[in-house]
Amino acid sequence: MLTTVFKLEWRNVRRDVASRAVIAVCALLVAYAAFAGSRVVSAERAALAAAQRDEAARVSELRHELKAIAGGAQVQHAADPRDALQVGRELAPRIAALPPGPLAAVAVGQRDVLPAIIELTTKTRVDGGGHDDGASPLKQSNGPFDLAFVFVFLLPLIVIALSYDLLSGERERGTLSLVLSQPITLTTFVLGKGLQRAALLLLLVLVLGLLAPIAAGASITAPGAPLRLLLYLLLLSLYSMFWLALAVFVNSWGRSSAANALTLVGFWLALLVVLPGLASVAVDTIYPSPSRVELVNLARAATTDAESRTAAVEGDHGKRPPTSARRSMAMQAALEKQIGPVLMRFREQHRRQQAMVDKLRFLSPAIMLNEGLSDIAGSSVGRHQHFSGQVDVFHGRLKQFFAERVQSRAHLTADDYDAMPRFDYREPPDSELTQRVGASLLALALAIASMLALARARLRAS
Amino acid sequence: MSDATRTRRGTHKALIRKELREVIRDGRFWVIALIVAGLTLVALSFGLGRSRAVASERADAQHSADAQWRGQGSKNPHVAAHYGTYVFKPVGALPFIDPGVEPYVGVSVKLEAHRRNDVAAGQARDATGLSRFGGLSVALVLQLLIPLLTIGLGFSAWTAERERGTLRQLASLGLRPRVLATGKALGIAAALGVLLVPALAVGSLVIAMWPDAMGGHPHATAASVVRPMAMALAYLAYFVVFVGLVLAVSAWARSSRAALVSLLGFWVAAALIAPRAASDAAAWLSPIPNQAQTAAAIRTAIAEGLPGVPREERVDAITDELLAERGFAGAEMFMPPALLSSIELQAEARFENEVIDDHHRRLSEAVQRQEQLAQAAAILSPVVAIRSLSMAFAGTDFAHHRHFADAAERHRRDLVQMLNLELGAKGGDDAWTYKAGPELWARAPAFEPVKPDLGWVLAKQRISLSALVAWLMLSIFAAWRGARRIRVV
Repeated sequence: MLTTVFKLEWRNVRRDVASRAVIAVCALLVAYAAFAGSRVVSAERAALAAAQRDEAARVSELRHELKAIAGGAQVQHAADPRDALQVGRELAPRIAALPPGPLAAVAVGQRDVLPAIIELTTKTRVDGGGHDDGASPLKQSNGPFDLAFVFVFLLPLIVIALSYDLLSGERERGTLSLVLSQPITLTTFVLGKGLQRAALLLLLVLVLGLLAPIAAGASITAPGAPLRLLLYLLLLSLYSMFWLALAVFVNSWGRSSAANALTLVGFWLALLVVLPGLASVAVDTIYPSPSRVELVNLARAATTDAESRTAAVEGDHGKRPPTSARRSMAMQAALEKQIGPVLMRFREQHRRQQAMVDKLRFLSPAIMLNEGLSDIAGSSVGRHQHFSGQVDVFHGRLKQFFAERVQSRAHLTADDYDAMPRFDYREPPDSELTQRVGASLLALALAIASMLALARARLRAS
Repeated sequence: MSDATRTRRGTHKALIRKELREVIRDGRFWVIALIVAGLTLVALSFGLGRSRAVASERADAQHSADAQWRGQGSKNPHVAAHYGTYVFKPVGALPFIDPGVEPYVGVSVKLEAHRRNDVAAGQARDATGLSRFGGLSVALVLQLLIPLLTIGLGFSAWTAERERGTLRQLASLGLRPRVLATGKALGIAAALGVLLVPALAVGSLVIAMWPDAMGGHPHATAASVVRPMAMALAYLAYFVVFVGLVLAVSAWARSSRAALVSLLGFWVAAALIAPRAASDAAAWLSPIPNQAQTAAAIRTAIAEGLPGVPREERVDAITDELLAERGFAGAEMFMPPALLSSIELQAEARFENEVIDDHHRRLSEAVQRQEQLAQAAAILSPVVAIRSLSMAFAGTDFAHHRHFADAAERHRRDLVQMLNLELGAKGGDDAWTYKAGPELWARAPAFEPVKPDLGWVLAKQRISLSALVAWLMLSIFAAWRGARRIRVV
């Protein structure tokens, strides 16, 4: 009987113009998002390549000058490639980059806000590098049109459009009493219809979900990619099933199609707008970010203080002897001593905020999916914090490298140029990702199961 | 007053009373209304707390930056120009309603000799993954939830009457369809008013009290009454658009269900898809040069000169011009050295400003092209129009940010110019050993950014404004036509 219902329903949906239109719209949205995602990732790759090219060009130019000086060429006073202090502070900024992950095209996440390429010199890093005035703040505030947006925000509406009248539609058309006159229970009938929708949705989500990242140029054979792809498809499947289960549950109340549609949109609003909004208010209230504005003045005061203690100034256009290397380093050490703890406070608070979001995500499947997709795409706050920690360690190494050479007062040689530290991002172990996404998958499965159990009880009772 | 008019008025009143009563007796309305009211309250109090904290934070920061500038001890004026100072973006009263792009742009600039710095220290970097859901602001409630509430209240305005068979009764009373439609519209409006009027009252109170709440911060008082009123009017028009569309669709639709599904579909397309698609497509079709690239290009051009004109050549030319202006042409040898240094520094600054202007002009043209393109989507969605207008009236769109950045740059130039002139006037025989004291720092011009007036805002928002008016006319027309052509059974 179940298979009969299933097949019948399949035929119904195939003939339904509205359903076909909804599916076509869904495919169109996914296609555009994949296209937008591919643009973002290729722009990011291009920026990364350009930064690395610049870095290499700067070094090779310095090496060239080094050779020229060895051959007796004139030394430029303000750009001496042999001077460890100048090279470290000005002449050879090093690049630390967070490369896009294999599935980066899936979610822009926080990548458009957090700098992925950081130029490092031996100077103190106060604001974390990168530019604040993004290319398009309007785009940043509206949010990107990426696959994560289509799946998190629009997929539920597609599911709602395909299933809000699962049962109520039959009643309103008068076909329900006809069906129930056959030897079939209401529960079996709804189960058959629900299974058909589930099959349809899974097919849709899996096909589009798989095609989209590939079309957007994801490298699905790269290390870590198969695992990410699997987690991503599992998340999408369970998320769409959650909304279907919710639709079945709402249908089990036995109200009109219009009432069902309104109720489901109400749920959508609660889970996608209200709860995330309240959650972010809660996070900001419990762990408010320290003020960056205060940081500006604090850094200023610390610099002035350090300057006055070391009597170093800039701006006299070389009319006075240049600041000695020792003094300059002492000044920086003094500055870092004052700024360091403040910067630490920023990082700590940001870490606490994200930890709270990690817990609050269980409030709404939408937050779970959004966080999960950012994790999988490698564009989450967590991954950036990981990166930031590694950049700090690297910055320490860089400063150490040049400090040793400043102290020894020897000229830099070609060997020193070879030995200059370079940054390589190390990905956190995949087990962390699996655990985080696994917890979300489990929570989603639980939500689906309880929704279906409630629906079953309702249907039995009616 | 004639009897006919009196009767018509009476009927109107009765109709509105009936519509309103229907809404108020509907349990759903109260549930939704309570939720929306609660959200508005949370958004209002959170936004207000946030705005006030930010405003006082920036006022304090500006005070201490000014104190640092004045307390820098005795220095050569040009060394002081390198030391520079910071200015912070002032906060008006309206961002608590619509934060706009503010979280994504910087708030403070370092002003110093030889370079135009980025506006930095924005808060976006401290955001969590939740920021992708858009946060919770009064603007969000007004732009997304109120239209949805309107749909919920009105989708069955005509269809339910037909489905219940009461439309035939109404028609038999000989009422004109326009009267009926007006009654229904006013019924929905009254229901919305239950929510919006208290919110408006609270909002106006907050805005009226803002300068006091700020401890009389001079910049905040610039927020006049005009902007909040323009904003309120824009939102009013926006709500009317939705009431009209809802009534029109309800009149044209075959059933309540069909009306609801098409209205929800429109809401999804207009409110969710259109804004993102518009800004994404605009960024793709009309890209803005990358900020890092622009900064690098300016650095190179300042070091080497603009294409075709080497730096030295241009600086020399400007120096000659300045010398000629002051009647020293060809007499460099007989000038006091400090005066010559001062003129050289001024020439350098003028050259640097030319380079900066050249790049920033191109940048701002590109930004404007992109913004106009994104605004053009307002023709397809009233939500795009109101978002743009709301941000603009709140003073939190990118145009206002650039206005601030440009004002800061002008201030930087004045400051540097004043210091360079001082060097020439007081430097005497050796420009670089001369040291000025606190009385000079105190004479530095004060930074008082003026908030652009309403005309400036309206000129930038021409497309959104005309689109909103077009939507208004379209929706009223559609509602009216729908009412006239409605099928009774």
